[in-house]
Amino acid sequence: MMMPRWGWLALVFALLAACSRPVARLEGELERRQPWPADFVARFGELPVQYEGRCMPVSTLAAFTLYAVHGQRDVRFVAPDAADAPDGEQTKLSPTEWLLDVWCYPEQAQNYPLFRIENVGVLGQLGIEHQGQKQGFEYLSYTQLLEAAQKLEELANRFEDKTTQERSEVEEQVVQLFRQLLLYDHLHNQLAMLHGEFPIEGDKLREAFGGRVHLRLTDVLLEAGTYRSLVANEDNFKDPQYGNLERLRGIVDDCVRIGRFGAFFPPADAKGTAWLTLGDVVEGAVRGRADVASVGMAVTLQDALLADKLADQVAGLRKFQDAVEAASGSRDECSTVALESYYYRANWHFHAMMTFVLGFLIAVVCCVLPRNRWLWLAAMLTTAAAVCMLTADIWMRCLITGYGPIQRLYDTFLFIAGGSALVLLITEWVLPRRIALVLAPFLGALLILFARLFEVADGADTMKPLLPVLLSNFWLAVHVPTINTGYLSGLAASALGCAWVAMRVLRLAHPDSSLAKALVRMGYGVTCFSLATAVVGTILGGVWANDSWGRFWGWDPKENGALLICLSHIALLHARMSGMVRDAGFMLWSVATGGVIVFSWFHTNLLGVGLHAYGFSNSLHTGVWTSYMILGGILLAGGLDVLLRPKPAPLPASLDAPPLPDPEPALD
Amino acid sequence: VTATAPSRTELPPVAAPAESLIRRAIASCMRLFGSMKLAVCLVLTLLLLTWLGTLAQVGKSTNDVQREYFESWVVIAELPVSVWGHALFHSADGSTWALRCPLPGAYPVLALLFVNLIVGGLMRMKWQLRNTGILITHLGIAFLLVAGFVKMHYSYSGMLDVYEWPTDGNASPGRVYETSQYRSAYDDELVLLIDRGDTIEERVIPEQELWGARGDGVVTVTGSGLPFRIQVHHWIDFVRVLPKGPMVKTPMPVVDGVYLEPAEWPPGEQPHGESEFGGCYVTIVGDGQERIEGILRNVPRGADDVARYPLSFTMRGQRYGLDLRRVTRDVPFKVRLDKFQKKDHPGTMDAMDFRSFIEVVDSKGTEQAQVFMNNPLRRDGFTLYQTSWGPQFRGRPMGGPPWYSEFEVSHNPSDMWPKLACYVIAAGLVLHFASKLRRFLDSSTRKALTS
Repeated sequence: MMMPRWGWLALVFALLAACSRPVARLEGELERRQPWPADFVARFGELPVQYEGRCMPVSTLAAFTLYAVHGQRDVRFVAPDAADAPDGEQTKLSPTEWLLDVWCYPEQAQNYPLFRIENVGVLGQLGIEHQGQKQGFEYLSYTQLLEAAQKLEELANRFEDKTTQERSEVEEQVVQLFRQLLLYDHLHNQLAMLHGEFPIEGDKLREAFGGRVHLRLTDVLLEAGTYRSLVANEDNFKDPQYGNLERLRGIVDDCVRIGRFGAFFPPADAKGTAWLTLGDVVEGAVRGRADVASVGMAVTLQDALLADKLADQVAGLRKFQDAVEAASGSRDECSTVALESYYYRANWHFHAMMTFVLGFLIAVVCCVLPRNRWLWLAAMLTTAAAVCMLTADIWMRCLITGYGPIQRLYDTFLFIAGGSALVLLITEWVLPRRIALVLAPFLGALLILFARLFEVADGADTMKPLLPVLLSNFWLAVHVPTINTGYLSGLAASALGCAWVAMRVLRLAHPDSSLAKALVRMGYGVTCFSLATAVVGTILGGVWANDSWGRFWGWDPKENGALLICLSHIALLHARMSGMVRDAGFMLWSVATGGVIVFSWFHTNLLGVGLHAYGFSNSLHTGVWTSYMILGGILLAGGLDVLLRPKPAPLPASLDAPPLPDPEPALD
Repeated sequence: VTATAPSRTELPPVAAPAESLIRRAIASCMRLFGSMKLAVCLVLTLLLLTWLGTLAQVGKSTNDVQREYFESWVVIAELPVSVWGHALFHSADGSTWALRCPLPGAYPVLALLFVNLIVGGLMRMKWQLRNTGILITHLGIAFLLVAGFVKMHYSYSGMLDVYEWPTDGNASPGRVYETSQYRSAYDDELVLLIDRGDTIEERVIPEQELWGARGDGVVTVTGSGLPFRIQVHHWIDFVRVLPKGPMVKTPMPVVDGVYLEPAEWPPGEQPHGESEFGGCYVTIVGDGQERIEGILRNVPRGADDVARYPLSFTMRGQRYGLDLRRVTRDVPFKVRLDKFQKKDHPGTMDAMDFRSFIEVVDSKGTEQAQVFMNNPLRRDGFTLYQTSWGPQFRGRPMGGPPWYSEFEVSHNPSDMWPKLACYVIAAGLVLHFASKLRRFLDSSTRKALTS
């Protein structure tokens, strides 16, 4: 029975509804009842901060912390009691807004549904009540998780004694949850000591601080000499006249210890490269190494945090940002902060992905209307525009980091997405049969989607500073793009193989048709290109290794992965030349080579061994095995079809051109 | 005159000369060894070996896998049967069950591939203009294989550690400040030290000659002029020394209250061959049948090279020592570390750059150089690479300054050959594929396919 058109639509909507996840409800009341002004949020996102060895906009720090802790780039919740967010209405916070809340409204932020629980078994382990596994994820707030923190720590310590392979899914998530809690804990408490005033007890202590009965942390910094002399004399701690001096020292020491998350204060020394955290500023002040400018900024920051009204907070934070930017303006390490802020705002690779999708749709229409030359041109230009956008994205990353286009695993996604689309576009230009035209934007969009998923799953800064061995612009610019060009063109050849199998299995074209022959030709050409770049890239890698590690070849997993691609291509081309495989064998082998590329590109990173340790990531596991399953399925379907239907009925002469000669001539 | 052509049957039978038989045999061999199908089979075997050798590194050190899979004649390859990263079957001891399959090692495969390449890819191939690119490529690959062969058989490497030179003159005893010696990363040797008064005479036995002492074996070592023989037994490749407590039961001999036990890497951690140190028991049997029992164990020696623990004994008034150590070689110059410099990424303890400012001293004079990542020093056929530094614990400074620097020293006659081969192969491939593409673009096939 045929399903009516609206039936398909209904099915799609039903699937979307099933996939949508309910948004968590915020516990308690909102402290901040007005939204942060949009222009302020955009501007404040450019505040430079030094974190994990590099200067970045604070919006980047917030985004990657959110990725790591929350698994998403924004925080959503339903605030039932808020005047501006009536029941059922979602509140969505950008990373910068979320960070501002954590800083300025920590009591509200600690109730945000932040920690994602994918398996309720984790809740069971922690002794938290739950209603069984649901469609969506469960979220715990910092407050809720703190209640179970002790249990969580015990469990995490126990499970960390096991290897990753030995841990069950729940155990792995418990370990990850504890790491997320630690990370967020550092962020949440980073400025905690700036949020209040502590009462001063004891006459002599009050007298020492000018008769004040309450003291801010920044007051201690401003009167650091007094504080130092007070704590230098151990007898003062026993004298009741000095009241809670012990407590005051504890608070200052706590601030030095926990205020270490991000460094917001540029060093006074123009040659110094390490910025100061709040903990550093406090430590410097109480040890007599006060940096006047940093203390001044800390005072501004505390004034902003303690302001009663949102407008005053905004004004105070603007003042703080101006002070930081004035101090960091001429510093080299900050030269790319504005560009990075623009890079993430502009989101060129997302636009490229959407343009690829558009190009794919046009290409599909082009297949339906093959005579229309304008559609073909439109699809070509749209896909080319997407490649240009992606190139702009990669170029900006190069400018920000100061190194070649590929430094980390994340970069390979973008490079391979753009490169494979480009290779297929050129293939389409050489043999305009619209197949490569469909595959180019499809592969480009798919790989950018993977890049975004990887970014979220990895939850780490994608522009993190490199290891010393990688700090060679020549080799980064020569070896890495060359070998990745081998990967991407191999993937393109594999995609052509998949298309050939699909056409054969789904009876879309006869294996002897000119279309199928053209596909084989395309596959052959792209495989040759892949072989050339993979071989040269692999040997260049060996030459680099010879300069870095003292040996050309060490049978390291990543090196072996590159060699596997070369060997697969070499065997395929020689098998084709010797007549061991013909069209079907060639295309099926190309599909299998896709699996080899996945192994080389990702699986070697999952092994967790070898010298190429900078590429390790555990977040790829599902993607890798899914790829194997898909490629295996295609290979199986194609293989069975070839075995069961080795010689399909010949085409009538009127339908297609006669069989063409083999693509590869004999050796002579 | 009529001429009649003689029929075949009228020709006298002629025995095929032995020479033509040899020629035919040679031709058959050439066809066999130059066959493209053989090339495909060899490349596929190499592919399989490389894949299995990669997977094998999860549970073994890279060095062990290299020897087992890539430098051997035959290997019993293992394929852990798992889906989605989870083992399908488990062995009795709980480890992942693996499918075992005998395969030729990469060494004979590569050797055959080289022959195949020379015969099929160079000798039998038609030397025509259109094949220029592929001929150049084959030549480059053959050159690369030769470079690999030379590297495997004629190169050696090791580690050289040296402390920063004490400019204030306060040298600490036991630290190495200037040296020309470097140690192999993997290979051990047994050394007999003979105290000659002013000098120490060394006699060396490579580790391979003692492997017979594994398990229940005993290897007896003798030497000219020595009043004793040395029996080596219970050789263990990766060992730890344990004290024998009252409740401990061990099948191993106990000497001076301690015994040797095979060591293992923690589960989930990749073994590192350079951190595996062997040990053995020795019995010194004098000519008068007096016996001295002892334990020898190799220990990591870095820039504190004098931290050696030989078994010393006196026989007929002569002092001797027995030591187990990494194979030690000399470079033809001395290395002195003037300064070690480490820069971290700001605000972290992660290294951004570490480099050594060294002085190289030999009979020709003194040369100053900087050695850092991707910038080795090449001199007199040896190459020095910046490898590590110390004292440190997992990349974090521990105890310095003064710092010491660790260099890898490599002597490889084919050091730069791969780079040359790379240029040749790249040129060949570009030439070949570019000419093919050009021919295809001009061909009628393309027009037919695009129609």
